[in-house]
Amino acid sequence: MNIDLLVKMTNEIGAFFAGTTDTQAASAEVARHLNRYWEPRMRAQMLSYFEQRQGAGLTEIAKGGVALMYAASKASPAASAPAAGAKG
Amino acid sequence: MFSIDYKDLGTPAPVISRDAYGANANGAHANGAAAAASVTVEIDGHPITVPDGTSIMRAAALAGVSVPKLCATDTLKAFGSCRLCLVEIEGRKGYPASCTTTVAAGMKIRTQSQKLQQLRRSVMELYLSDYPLEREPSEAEARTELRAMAHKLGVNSTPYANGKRHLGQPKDESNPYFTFDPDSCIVCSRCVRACDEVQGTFALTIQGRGFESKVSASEDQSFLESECVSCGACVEACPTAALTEKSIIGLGQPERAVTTTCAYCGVGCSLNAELRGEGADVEVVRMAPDRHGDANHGHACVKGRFAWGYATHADRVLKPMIRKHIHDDWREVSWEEAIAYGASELRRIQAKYGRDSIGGITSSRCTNEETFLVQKLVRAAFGTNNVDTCARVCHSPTGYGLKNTLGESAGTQAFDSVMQADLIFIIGANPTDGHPVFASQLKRRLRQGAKLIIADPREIGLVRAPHVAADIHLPLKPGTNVALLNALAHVVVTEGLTKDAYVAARCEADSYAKWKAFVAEARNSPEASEGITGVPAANVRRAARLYAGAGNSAIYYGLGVTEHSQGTTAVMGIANLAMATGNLGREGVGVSPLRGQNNVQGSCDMGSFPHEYTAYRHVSDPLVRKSFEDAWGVPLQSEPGLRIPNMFEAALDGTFRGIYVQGEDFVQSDPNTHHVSAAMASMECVIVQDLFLNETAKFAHVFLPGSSFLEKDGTFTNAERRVSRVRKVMEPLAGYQDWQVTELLSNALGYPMHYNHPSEIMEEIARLTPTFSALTYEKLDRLGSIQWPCTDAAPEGTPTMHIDQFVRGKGKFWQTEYVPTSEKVNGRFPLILTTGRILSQYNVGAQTRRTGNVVWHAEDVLEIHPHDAEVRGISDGDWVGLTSRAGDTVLRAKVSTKIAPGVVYTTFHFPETNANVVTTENSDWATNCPEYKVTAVEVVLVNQKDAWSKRAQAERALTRPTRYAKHDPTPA
Repeated sequence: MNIDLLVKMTNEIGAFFAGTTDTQAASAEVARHLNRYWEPRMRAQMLSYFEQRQGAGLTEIAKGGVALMYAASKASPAASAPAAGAKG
Repeated sequence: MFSIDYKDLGTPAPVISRDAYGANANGAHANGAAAAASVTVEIDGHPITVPDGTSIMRAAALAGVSVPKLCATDTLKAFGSCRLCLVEIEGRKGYPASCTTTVAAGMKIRTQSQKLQQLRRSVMELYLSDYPLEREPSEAEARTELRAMAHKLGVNSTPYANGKRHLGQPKDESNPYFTFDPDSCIVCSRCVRACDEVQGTFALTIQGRGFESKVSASEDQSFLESECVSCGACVEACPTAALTEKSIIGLGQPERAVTTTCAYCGVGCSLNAELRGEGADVEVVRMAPDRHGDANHGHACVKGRFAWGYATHADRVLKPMIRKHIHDDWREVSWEEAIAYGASELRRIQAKYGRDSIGGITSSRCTNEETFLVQKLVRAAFGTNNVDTCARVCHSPTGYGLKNTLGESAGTQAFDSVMQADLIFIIGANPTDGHPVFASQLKRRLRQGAKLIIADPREIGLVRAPHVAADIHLPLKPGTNVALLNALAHVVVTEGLTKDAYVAARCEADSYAKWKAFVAEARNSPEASEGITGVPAANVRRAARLYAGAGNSAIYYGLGVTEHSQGTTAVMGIANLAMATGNLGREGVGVSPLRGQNNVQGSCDMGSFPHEYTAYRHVSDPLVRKSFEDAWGVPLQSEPGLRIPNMFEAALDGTFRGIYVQGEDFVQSDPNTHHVSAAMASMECVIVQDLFLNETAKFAHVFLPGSSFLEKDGTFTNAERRVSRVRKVMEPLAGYQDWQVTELLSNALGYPMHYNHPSEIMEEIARLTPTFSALTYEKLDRLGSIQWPCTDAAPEGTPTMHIDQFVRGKGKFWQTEYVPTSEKVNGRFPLILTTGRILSQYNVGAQTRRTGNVVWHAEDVLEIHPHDAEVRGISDGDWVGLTSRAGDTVLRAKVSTKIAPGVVYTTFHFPETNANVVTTENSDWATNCPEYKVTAVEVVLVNQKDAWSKRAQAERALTRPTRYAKHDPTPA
């Protein structure tokens, strides 16, 4: 998918939660939102972008959220970033 | 003329309520009105007890005594002009009109006597003196109330036949759906009163005096040229066939009626389909609004009442078709071959690219049962959660916003609740065009004195209408809803207008405290946001005070709220405002989304979103998922699937290759057409199921003929959560109802489905869905309609939600930081385009463009302010080029002061001009609902329509559908 669009969408999610709570909690909300509403291949692409480009272009809160997901995926790869169609 | 065999009680039921507002059209009133005292009278020797305030005429009708009448009907207030309904009352002088005289305790009334008979005959003879009695009556004329009354009174000639007569006047046939024949008119004023009281347009009047008296549309114009909105209320009210549907003149009198539900907007009017013929010869003669319909109370609009001719239009495709590539010619095949080919292609794609490489789209125009079945097909038979619905592009932010604040993804009220509102706040909605029947009810309440605030960039119809005017219009700049809502909240909080005891009892204290502190910040004040919204601070302050202090304040909103990058934030802002001022949980208040399509609410309820099962339960919830796995006998995925815009992105990546689309045309309706087209062209198997070869079908490999709402059984759910029956009035023209086609596809994929009737699908829905647990077809037949939640605790449904507490438990406030959209005007694109609808057309126009409605709106036009037009050298009617960073199109300019400088406006009903070529990929942060309402554009004068629209027309000419040759009763 167009990574620029995914970055923009993640930043907009971050911008909403930025207004609701502190930075750390807002990042956790971003991660929760992506896990609940983004299809796995979108999340996988975002994580791979995070790995390769260190999340360039993401706001601090958005990047914090993706970092949380990235850490979780390293701890338990199947739970956070399953490959498309590989599960269930 | 009335619906077949309708029992007319003559005058409306008396309405008693806390503020003694007048009766609405049908006499029905919002629940919560106090019961009136009873009065007992004697009519022709029969004792009858009726509510105080009932007319003698109505009391007599209730006692089974029919008093002759012409100018009275129970949809309109008593008028007392025809003098046919005279009665005698013991102890009183004279012969009072029974329609305008109300009952009093102990009255003894006689409706029949020699004197009364003589008076009535004389009146009737006078009526007939200037009526073409000698003319052989048409089928419609023969059945009119006038002829029936004359017959009843034994009058078949008039002694005044040699007097001066005024016959031979020209008929007005300008309206595509009805005629006006002045010769048959008796000037009873029923049409004029229907236009005033029922519709609220005030287009008709009686002009002239004496013999010159005549019904006149606007300033003695033809019906078509006048302000008439062609709702048909006047035709329904006419007792003489002076106003008659052309379909009745063409096809003859209907023989029977079937009650069903309109397939246009989210009002969901109950309609009686009046029919002739049997079996394959069934023809719809007309659609008469159902007076017992709880959503519409006997009213309808130009779409629902008249624009149903598309169902038998020659463009209907009735044979399944397949083709290997989208540039090949279509090949007509049998149902078996089409289904088998589609199924094998889907399985081939999954084998090659993975299980999640395909998906499906449910339709907000199809029934709940059909929608449920498509998402079941995708989740259980395809084995993926890649299912979405067109609600994605309209009201998905409503679902997310209301679920996270109040706890339920739906509006809080019944439509009738508006009759208890003291203040109505409309934001980002245009009810008179988008939801006309509800708008009529709303206008009725406004005429009774309710206050009105409108927040809209345009001067919509309700800002200034006959006998209705907005107290405050807040013409905000597109894309600044959240800033405006924060400014309103700022005033409510800083001026101490909150209902703190209400909030303390019902909402999360912590979230409330944080929200109060947030909105109280100076940057959220009306003065600070004036530069963002363009709305004078003083007006925002007035509006906030009015909303918070009116008593009962009700918010109605539409796509002008949701279709923004901050759509969800704005919905939350609306809920915050309502909670803080105590305007939730009773009649007359609430937060009501006006839903676009007939079954948007239903398609969302039925589990059409990729992350949710029915009743908005997340696919990751193990208990919920297990209930579906047990019922469906297959393992289900716990991860959310792709949303519609994500599907397009994945298609361009090559990871999404096949799709089953039931009843949606996203190539026309979704933003950034070039992007969508490229995605669709990259797919290997697109299965389109539709009535017509639409824009999306250009990219299809399999075409499966759909069935119209007249050809199927099922239910629709309207914007007030009202579930109503759709009843089949004719056999499906292509052989199958839509749910049966889904069943065929599922069986071909090896996942068996064997439903005999949609009622069996509803039984499955009820078993699996807590909010539908007590809902059955039997109950729907008995009650007419039911507003969910329908459970053992609320067996007849729930008109008002959140009465004792919020569904969520405690209401949650969210801080709604204003984040400007990234779509900004600049030197290259200095204007903001915003889009909307018009009364006579509907959505992508697939239905309405194929009806007589094109006489009102035959093309999409671009509204532009005179200032913006002048600096560009544009005059009214010029062709102009509309360009954004996404694309360009050409359409005609309409210079108008209804729109602010700097903003231009158009509709998206026609593929020729397709406004979505210019809209962008920007979307709501939470739901990906597209930002249709804000696009930076430039407008230039052009000499002719551009290459794009020529190309589009050429492409359309290539896709020739199989023609359906049956007679189309609606003149186009």
